[in-house]
Amino acid sequence: MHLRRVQIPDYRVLQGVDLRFDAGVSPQVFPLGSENGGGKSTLLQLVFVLLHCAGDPERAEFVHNVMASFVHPAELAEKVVARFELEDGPRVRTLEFVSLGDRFLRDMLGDEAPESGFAAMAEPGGDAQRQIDGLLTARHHVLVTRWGGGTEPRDHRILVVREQGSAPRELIAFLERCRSSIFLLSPPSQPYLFLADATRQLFVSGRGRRGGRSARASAAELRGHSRLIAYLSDLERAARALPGFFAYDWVSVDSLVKLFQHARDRDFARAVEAGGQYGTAYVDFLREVNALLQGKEVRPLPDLSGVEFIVTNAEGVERVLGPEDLSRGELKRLMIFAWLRANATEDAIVLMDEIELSLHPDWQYRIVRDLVEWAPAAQFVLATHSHEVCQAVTPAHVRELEPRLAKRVDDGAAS
Amino acid sequence: MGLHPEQLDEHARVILGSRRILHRQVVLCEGERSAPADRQRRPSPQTYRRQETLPDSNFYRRCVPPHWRDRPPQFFNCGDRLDVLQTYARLRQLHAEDSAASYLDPEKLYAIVDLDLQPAALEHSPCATTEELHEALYAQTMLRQPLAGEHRIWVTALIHKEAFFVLPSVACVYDELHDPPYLDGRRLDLIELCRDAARAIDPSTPAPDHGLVKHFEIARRRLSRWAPPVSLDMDEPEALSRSWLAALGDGDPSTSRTEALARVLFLVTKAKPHWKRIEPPSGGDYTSTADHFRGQLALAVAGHIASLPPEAHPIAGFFEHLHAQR
Repeated sequence: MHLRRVQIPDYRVLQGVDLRFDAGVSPQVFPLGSENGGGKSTLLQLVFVLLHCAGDPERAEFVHNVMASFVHPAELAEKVVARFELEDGPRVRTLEFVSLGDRFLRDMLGDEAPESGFAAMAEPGGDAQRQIDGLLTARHHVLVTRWGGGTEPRDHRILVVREQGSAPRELIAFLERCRSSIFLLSPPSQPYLFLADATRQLFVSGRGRRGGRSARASAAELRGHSRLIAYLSDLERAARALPGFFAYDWVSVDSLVKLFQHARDRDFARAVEAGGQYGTAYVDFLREVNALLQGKEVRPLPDLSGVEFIVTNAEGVERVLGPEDLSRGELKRLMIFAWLRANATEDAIVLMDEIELSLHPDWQYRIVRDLVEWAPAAQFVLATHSHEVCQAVTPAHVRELEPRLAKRVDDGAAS
Repeated sequence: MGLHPEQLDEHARVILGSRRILHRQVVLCEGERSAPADRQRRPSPQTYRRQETLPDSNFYRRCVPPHWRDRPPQFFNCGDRLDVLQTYARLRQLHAEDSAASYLDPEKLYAIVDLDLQPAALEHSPCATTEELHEALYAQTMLRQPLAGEHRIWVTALIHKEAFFVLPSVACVYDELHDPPYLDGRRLDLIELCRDAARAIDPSTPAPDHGLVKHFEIARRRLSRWAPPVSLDMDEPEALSRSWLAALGDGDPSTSRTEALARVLFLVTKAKPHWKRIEPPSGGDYTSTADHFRGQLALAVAGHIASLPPEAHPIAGFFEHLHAQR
């Protein structure tokens, strides 16, 4: 599944965004540039959360958090949050995520609209909820989440997704495929929109308290650190609930270890099949990982609970390094490789934010070639400030979120 | 049209002052420099996106073999062939005048220019002209092994680097693309493109290669250095055109003979005009310009070259040479 078009009429800094990702562009790697604060991270997060969470009640809270930043005036019955064109095999499908307001209910149901509006949906099984469910089904809308809220019915909203010509059941099946086909790789050092507002405040206040020299400032610094730790802890909890999300600056070799375990298991399965003749998956994978490292070799721990890295000097003396001892760029490259291999990223949409962080300019250029080699059928959208990243592809690959003083028009191919 | 002396100076000083060339090989190549307004700004995705064509340096950069990860060369677009050669000379001069203001190591300075048909005079080279240099570097359009002499200025093995984009052997690269290239409203047939190029040698055709007709003597001497897979009639342009087409016959694209014939053809006849006729399919999924589409093809070919062994392709051989000299 690949993205072909993203339209976001009005979400935070994103105004009138219309980005096309042509199927004819090869490789399917699209650097996405903008000025600082231009909305690259916001765009990636919004696309990811809507497509990774819609249709799964367990992930509704993340959509709810994202919608907290959406402005839907009460006088509007509905307002489009985002529209996506997605290539799904031979079909291009158009999903529209729409916020519905109380006015929608009044327009559709007139005097029969529930008194409490969409707030009635907080009471499962009630007549009002059944009435609204019936209305949504009749209009081929699939509920994503309730949002808004307050004392007045007019303050309550719901987010639905719809596709012209698709019945809810078909749409729900497609959303399930979407959820497993989209990934977001991003540094942890930013206040994610899919986290609760209180959690994001922890990040902001935690970072704002750093840098003092006096004893008083140090106390503030400590409080800042503890807030950042709390933030990262919440982010980690969110990451566990969002299997398509990966914070690539974390010193985690889980994906790599998982791949070694998988290779070992494949070799054993081969031995069972072939009467004791083991396969070469483990050795092949070891060779592949070592080819990524410069002057080092990876050595899985005997119980495959982790890995260490070996540097051998000219006299043949080995020095053992932990993952935390590698350079951040080296570790990042290795982890992206392992993560792409460990996850089902074939034919997937992979959104990557600030890919250039920690990478030397040579490696910023090189990472594009690596991505295509590691996941040739995937589509990559790379939010970046790096000219080096762009140079690995043609100018027509680059998408831009232009600063807008007025309405943004099409930002598709640079024709 | 070359750079004005002030432009040349400015360009050379920018290169000398680029920290990214420190301890690196520097390769000067042909290709448009970025627009003056963009040269004043920090390079960014936005400035890159505004470029109307793929910079030539990006093609060469993509040809760097994947095993070369530590300190790959740095590439600079310098304009046309004369600009490249003048920039090369000016860089050496400015560095010699004030090496403290330079990150350049002159021993690591290289240039690669198109062979073209008219020879260009060379300084700082064991060869006096591009034609002599071509003979020194290549045998049968492949890099001589071992290479005699110390060469830091190079010419392409074929007339233009674009010739490498239209050889029959790259059809396999284009077949992999979602939107294959088109020519004259039909899917690109590289053998047919070669036939068009061969027909253009004949001055009586509607769109002849005037340069070849004018400089036929140079072409004849160049061709006589090689041993083509068949003997070609080189008495005059019409005869060369006829004999090349006859030698090609049905032109089975999978044979090395066809590939060798195409290489012989693009030793002397212009490849760029034919390359520029290639377009994305109308009604396909590619919506940007034909220039950008060709840039995409060029990068795909560069990726293919990067994967080839040095003895299989002259550009792969060039990078193997650089790697050994780094």
